[in-house]
Amino acid sequence: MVRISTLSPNACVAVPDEIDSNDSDLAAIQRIAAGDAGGCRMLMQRHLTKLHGLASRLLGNAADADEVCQDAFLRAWKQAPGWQSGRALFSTWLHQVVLNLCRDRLRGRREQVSGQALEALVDPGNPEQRASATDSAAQVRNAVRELPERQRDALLLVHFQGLSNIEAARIMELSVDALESLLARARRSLRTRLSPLYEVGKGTLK
Amino acid sequence: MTTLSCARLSEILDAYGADPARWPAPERAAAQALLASSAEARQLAQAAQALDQLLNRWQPQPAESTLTTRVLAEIARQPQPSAWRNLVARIWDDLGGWQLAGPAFAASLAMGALVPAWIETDANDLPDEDLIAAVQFVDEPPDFGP
Repeated sequence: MVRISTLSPNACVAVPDEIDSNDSDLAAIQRIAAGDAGGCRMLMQRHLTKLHGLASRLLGNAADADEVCQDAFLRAWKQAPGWQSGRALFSTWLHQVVLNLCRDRLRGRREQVSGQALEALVDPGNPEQRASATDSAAQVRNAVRELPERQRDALLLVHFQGLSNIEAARIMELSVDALESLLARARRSLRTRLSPLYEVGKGTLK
Repeated sequence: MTTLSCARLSEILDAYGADPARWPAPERAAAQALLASSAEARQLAQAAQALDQLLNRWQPQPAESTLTTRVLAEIARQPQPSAWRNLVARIWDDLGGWQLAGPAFAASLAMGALVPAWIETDANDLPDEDLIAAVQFVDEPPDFGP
């Protein structure tokens, strides 16, 4: 079940004033508040590809990622009129919504397939997941998905989503130092796990 | 511009990788200056870059091309909540939202335990002795003896 309460736009932590003036989504939010669905189209043009990338990497399934994104933008449509600007970037809130929706789906899958390896959770009909385990992209995918949840999310937000450390920390409700520590542990673990793909001692790829 | 030690650059590379765009903004310029001037720093960055390149091989699956249209169609079917509901939601959030549920539950449990105890104390209070005597007098049959 989705924890809607934590997804409230107003639940985001306070941020400096400059965030407000830099929020490029304010025009779209104002259009949504006026009941104009064009505002939602603007938000999707700006964020859909990135948010879908996050959901798709987390869930390993484009169809599930489509559903998560649809749900996230419907929430944006319903909640943007109550948005209090200046507290957080709207894109931060959207990432938080998508991340929580994905976590809920992953927990649901784990409950269904408890006791089985993570590999068993992926969709066997999916081309991405049918990729050979020897494929380096597949090895990266598996290694990232097997990281502890917080390390995985930190890496996805900073490396793959390209968010700043401040924004990623805000999404995960952590200090920047704690985020940095999670990232360092994640990358260290990946370096070890993916070491067969490196030229030993050179730090270059095979 | 502040200077940066090789040790701190190593921490930054460990956490954020070799792409300066991902580095903490306040330290970015100093880190780039160190890279430009130090062979040791460049070696550290090269190792981090290899992991970045490896991670970048994992590309996400694209969204369904009709997703935007689908979402807009769904939006057209779903009315926005009224301004009144938004106001209530905002006040609820400002008060702490569901974070209040725990304390409220604890308070209701405490009230549930204390209130019956108070009521029980009142019920056990003995009636006033004069009242008992009066009742006994009223209930006593009249004395018609000789």
